[in-house]
Amino acid sequence: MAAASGLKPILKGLSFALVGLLIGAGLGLLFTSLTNRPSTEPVIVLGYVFALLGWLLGVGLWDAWGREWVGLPVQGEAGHDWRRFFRFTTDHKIIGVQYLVTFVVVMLLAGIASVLMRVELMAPGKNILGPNEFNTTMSLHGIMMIAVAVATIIGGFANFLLPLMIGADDVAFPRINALSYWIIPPVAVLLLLTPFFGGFDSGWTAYPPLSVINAHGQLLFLLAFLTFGVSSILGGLNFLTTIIKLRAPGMTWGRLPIFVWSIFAAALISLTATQFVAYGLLMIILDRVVGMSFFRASEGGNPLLYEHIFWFYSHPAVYIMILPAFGIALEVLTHFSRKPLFAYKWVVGAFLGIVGLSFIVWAHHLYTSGMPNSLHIPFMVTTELISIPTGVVFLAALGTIWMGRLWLTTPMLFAIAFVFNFLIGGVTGIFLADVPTDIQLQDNYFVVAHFHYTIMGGEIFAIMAGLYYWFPKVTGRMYHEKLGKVHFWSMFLTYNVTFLAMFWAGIQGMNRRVADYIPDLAGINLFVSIASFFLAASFLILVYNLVRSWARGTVASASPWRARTLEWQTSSPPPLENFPHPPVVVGHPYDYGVPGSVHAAPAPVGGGSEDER
Amino acid sequence: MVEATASHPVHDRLSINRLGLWLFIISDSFLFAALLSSRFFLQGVHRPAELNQPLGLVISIILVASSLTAYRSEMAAAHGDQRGFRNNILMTIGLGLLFIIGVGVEWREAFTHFPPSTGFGTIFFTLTGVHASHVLSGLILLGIVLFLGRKGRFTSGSYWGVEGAVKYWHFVDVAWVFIYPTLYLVS
Amino acid sequence: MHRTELPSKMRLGFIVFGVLIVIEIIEYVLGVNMKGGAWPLLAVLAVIGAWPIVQYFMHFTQLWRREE
Repeated sequence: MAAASGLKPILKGLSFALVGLLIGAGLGLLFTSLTNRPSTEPVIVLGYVFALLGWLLGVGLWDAWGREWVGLPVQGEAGHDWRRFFRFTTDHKIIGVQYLVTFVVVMLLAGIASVLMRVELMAPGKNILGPNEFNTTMSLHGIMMIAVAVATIIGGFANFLLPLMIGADDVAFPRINALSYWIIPPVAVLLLLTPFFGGFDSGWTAYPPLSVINAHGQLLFLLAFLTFGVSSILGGLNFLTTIIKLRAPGMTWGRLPIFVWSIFAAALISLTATQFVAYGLLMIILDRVVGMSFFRASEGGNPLLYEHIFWFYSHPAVYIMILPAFGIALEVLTHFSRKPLFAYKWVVGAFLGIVGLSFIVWAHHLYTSGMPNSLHIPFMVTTELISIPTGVVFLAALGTIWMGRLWLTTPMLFAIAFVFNFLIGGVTGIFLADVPTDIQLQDNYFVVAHFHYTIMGGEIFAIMAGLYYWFPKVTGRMYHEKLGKVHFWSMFLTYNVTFLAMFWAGIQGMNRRVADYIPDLAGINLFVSIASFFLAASFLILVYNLVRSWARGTVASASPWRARTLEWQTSSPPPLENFPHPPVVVGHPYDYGVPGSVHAAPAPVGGGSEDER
Repeated sequence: MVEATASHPVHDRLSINRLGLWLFIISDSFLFAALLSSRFFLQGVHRPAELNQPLGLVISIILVASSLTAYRSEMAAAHGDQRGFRNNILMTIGLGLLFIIGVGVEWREAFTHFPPSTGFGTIFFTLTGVHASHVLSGLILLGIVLFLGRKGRFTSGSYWGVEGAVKYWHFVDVAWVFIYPTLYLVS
Repeated sequence: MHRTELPSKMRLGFIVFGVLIVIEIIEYVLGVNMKGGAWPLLAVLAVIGAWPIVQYFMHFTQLWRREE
């Protein structure tokens, strides 16, 4: 019975969702009975919108928030056992764990999808998946990994750690924070339902006109992505406000840990650009559901509009993914090199420069789409400009390691591998930014390999570094160091073998997003597939290590790495209020080896911190 | 301030709320920027002759007037004038409803001249529809504020609910200041 | 805030309202009478119209200025 009572909020959310689904579907039928349009898609849209509202209200939005708006006292809940992870709690640390666990699971699911794809591609012809199933699998892999890449660091690590690092007791809007997490499960449900509604073979980019005309699974995808966008916007809003308003006394902008700066930069993008993808998806939904003509050329519509709007978000979105990864990598490199972060101010400037430039490069995704040729050169120039701030970050990473006393723990190995992989990702990006080479390389595995080098070799490696680095802080227990190193070496080697070979496959003419290929490419595809199976297997070591260590690893001290940032100056895991005595920041966080330097001191007992404001 | 042991003391709450709302407004204005840019991308400055320009002017003036009453209600709440606050909120809601009715009349005409399946109709219905959904959500917020105000929840020292709803309402007005010429006047 | 400030605040509201009405009517006259080429003027007028709302109705400067 304990399980049932612990899951009560979720059961309530599900039952409210069911009621909402019936109401929405009924309204959909009512509206479509007045017109002569087919009723399936309006029923899906309205049914989903009401089901989503029902879910959120049932799972806790009403008790924690809605009651206040009708003049009733809100009902909070407390709890210290496992049940708190299944509730609409406002503690940023619990929400951070909810995000992390959810998205590690999503990452593994999306990884299974990629294994299925590689099985299909082991040999030419049909192996296990038909063309439509293959493309649905590919699209699901894409959108789930995009979600992992966007939300794992901002939603997971930043939620747990950012308030700790700036010395706050929570984020600025704890209830919005909970909302932005609990809006995620419906996204996962919709995506997992798509195969039962005809799938969607458009890829995660969902270009019209294909996405306007194909099966209902596409509509589910669009609604899921739109919902995820809402979560992303709310998260960005919350972190910006938190960083601006809730810094501890003495935590000036020049003393912010670099991870906090990277979240600040990424949150700026997710706050603003995400509205564009929301509008792009809305346009497809309107074309599909109410028969508008955004993309019907006979009525003056133009599919290029979607590509512009979509990439105005989705290119900056890669910086939502990679900026926090820079933050984690630099953080880890600094602490384990036992040296001050090299060129701190330049790195901050580079982050903000990347944010600015990221908004004026989107059309490099449209070189071969038929946009005016006059736009090629300007966007080529802006795109290549981005390598300047990125290069600054890269040099700062090298400068930090240079002559350092490296402590080669698992997180440090992953952070160094991040630098290595991202270099390959960055250099191959230049070929795709250049119009002449891009026209040859577009839409083949060179592109696939390039973005996997930036996002997987870059960001996922940084996520791994973060998982190991902060594992003791989050769980209060140490991971198994030797297993961690085995995981690192197996993942690093198989990863590079898999994706370096993909560059070659691409240059040989292997197209992306197809289930079949000419027999000439059989050898290289078999090679990539086999390597990718070993890569997938390396994640099993990670899962085993995390689960085993969380259950019965050795108990961790408050600061096992003897790092100086604030999250290590409280117990592992931190208490509900984060710091029993609010800290006062007096110096830079990375002054390792500087005589007499102190980052933070606990405030004098008795609330004296108020004088420091 | 002995009770302020938490990292952020109570008196920061108002400025935190304000910043959060402004960030939301900035975010939302990107949505309107996308809407406006799609109008020019797809239709250029084309405007069908059947568009009811005088009605556009009338509903614009109604919305601006509702911004005035919203401002007056916030000021009244800030100075503890409970009656002025409630009356002005009520007037704002009335003007907002009038605006929605105006859009409804406009939509009826539009359905016959340029239905949503046509090029201009797509833009027209999407822009006015997204804006009207903002108006409706603003009306709901104002309704909640009126309800809570009747219960005496706001004082001259604590009226964030009023301020927040009114700011959002002004934002909806600002969005219309850009949408109105984009739809009704350019040619 | 003092109660005595209220009338002057209310007057400010009417002034902003009046300015906005004038701008909207100018926009309307331009839009109806100019055939083509009106859009740059309209864009400028829209910005001029949005500014007093943001400044006087929404109190944008409260964000960084401490209120009395």
